Amino acid sequence: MSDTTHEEHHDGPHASGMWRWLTTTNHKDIGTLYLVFSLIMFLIGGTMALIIRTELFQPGLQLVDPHFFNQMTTMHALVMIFGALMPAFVGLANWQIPLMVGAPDMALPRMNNWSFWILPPAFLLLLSTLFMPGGAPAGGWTLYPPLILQTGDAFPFVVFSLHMLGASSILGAINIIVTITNMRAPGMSFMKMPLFVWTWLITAYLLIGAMPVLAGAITMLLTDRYFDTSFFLAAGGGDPVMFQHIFWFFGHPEVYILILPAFGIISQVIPTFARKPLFGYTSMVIATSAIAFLSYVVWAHHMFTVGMPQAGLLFFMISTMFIAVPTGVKIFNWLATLWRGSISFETPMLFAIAFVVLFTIGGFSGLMLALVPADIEYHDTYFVVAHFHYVLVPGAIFGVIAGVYYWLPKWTGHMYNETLGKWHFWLSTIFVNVLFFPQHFLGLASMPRRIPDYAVQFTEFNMISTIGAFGFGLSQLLFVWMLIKCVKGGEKATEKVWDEPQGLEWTVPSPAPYHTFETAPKV
Amino acid sequence: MKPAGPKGGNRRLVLTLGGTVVGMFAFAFLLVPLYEVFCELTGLDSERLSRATLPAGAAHALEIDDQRTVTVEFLTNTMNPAAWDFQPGELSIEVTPGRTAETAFFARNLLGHDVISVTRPSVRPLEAVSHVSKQVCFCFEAQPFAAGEARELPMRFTIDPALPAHVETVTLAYTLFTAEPG
Repeated sequence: MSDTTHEEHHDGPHASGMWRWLTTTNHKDIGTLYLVFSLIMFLIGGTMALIIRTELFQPGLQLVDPHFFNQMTTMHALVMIFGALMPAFVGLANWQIPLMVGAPDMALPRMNNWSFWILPPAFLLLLSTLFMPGGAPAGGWTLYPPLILQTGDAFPFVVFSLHMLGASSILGAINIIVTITNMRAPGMSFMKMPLFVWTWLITAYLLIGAMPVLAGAITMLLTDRYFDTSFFLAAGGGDPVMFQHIFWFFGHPEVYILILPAFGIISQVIPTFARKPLFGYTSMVIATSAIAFLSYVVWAHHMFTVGMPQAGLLFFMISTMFIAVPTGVKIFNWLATLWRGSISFETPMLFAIAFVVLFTIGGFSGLMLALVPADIEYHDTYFVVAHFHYVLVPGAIFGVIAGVYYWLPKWTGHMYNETLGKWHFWLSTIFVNVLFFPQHFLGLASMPRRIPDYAVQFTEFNMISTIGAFGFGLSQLLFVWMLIKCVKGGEKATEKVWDEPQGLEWTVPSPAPYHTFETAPKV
Repeated sequence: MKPAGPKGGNRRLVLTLGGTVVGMFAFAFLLVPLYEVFCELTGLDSERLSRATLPAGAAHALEIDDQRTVTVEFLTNTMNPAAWDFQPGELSIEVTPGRTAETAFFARNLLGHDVISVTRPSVRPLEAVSHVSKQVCFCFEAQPFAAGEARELPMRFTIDPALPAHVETVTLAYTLFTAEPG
């Protein structure tokens, strides 16, 4: 990385070895820590997914027992959401936001160190539940009572680790908001900020609003189990459906926390490789804000089957369908940016284009799920699984990957291996569709989710899906190999890296020196 | 090296954001009563109504509608089938709207010790909720059971003739919980 000596008066890290990483307050170091951590979690969560898919290769029970299968579905979701995706976005934010707004570092560097270092112990705690009596949580990542209250000894550990993860992302969000609000270079008004910075600002506000609600919900679960309260226990006059309302009040904004930064990355990548400024910058900002606002008033569309009054069903159906409007604005703006552009297809651009196409497929299946009468049929089937994996894997994860390829030369000072990158892209894109597309058909034929066994007529599509899963999983090893090669060496990257990219991050040398923008640039 | 933003500005912003976090944490707890208030104000929560049942004494003089009968089905559930034997006395009865109907349920405590049970009622379909009036129900209060005790639990109710004509079947469901392990 950038710890190699850089001439002039820039200093390197203040310590070396492990101590450097433990005590660092440098946004680039912390960004690297987040990204490496997220990659490790991505591989762990991916392994869990492969266990699930292996079990589902054939009907019947072959590999694991049902209880362990349920632990895998629950832990896969928690690890991927809180361990892989969120830290990846925070890592990109740490690296890029100071570089993109012309700030010397994050506004609160010590807190920044703390936000990262809460994560590893939290995951140690969460993953250790796999070895506890009664096993890891197996009631689904949504933690619905009363089922989740039947978790074994692991229960308080799960709650505590989620509290820690929440605290970490809240601290990260506060830091990002303060940095963006107070540390922009002179002349960089809000409406001149790059879109990645904008989407992260909005995401950070979503985190501040949503994560404490999750903390509240799981605290109530904890007191219900250990302190004789009855928030969600019907026997004591509580209401289990109440938990779902509170959980999804967090849960739906969380969905946008997982996608908005990816929107930002795509909005950086597409203009660079289309060699045109982003089409409709202002409408992009407004659309992102509108999505964030709407995300707080659609939560009960996850609960259409719990027995809501008609007025509630209608309200949540219509508000959910409204989200398609600002999202459509974004999609069309990206298409308009491509229109008559001078397009070249380097790896980040390939991932960005795949994002636009495949995320839109996930968006459409989301619209289908928004329709109450249809949702009652699709609820808890593989159609839902296909939907949210389309928006999260070729959506959010492809966004992260596009960002990594895009900025990697700036971080390491080396160009990545383009041939490897293209292989990684094509294999990932083909296999991700082999993996998730058949799940639409399974869901429409009513195969339930979170069940280790299935009726024999579902066999073929499940086999195809499992083959896709292994193809996709193994392709990611190419990504890891590409990363290692690029960190170790490769063709030297220029300052601009790409052909006339816009933004302050391209005005500093590659690799970005340990300290940048000690004197604020003029915009 | 000079920080681009004023230090005091950082502190103020951090405090505001921190305050918001604390506020949202409290808001999660506040949501519990807020949902109740919201549903009461808007009258939206037929689901909650279906559990609370109508006031027992309010057997307001209902006209009798001899022109039709409504099938009333009874459903029982328990969280722990090893602890309870809980059955409806009849699976379904025909009820004339406006006439008081009677049935009984049967419960046995299979545990070797005294317990208190709580039963939560539910009515389906939702549009029937405000048209079922219960005068006597074991679901109104907690029921103590001695170790191994079995007994009948009577229930008396009336279907309001204002029940929409297309509703031909009403399901009354009861879920029995162990409230206190005696």
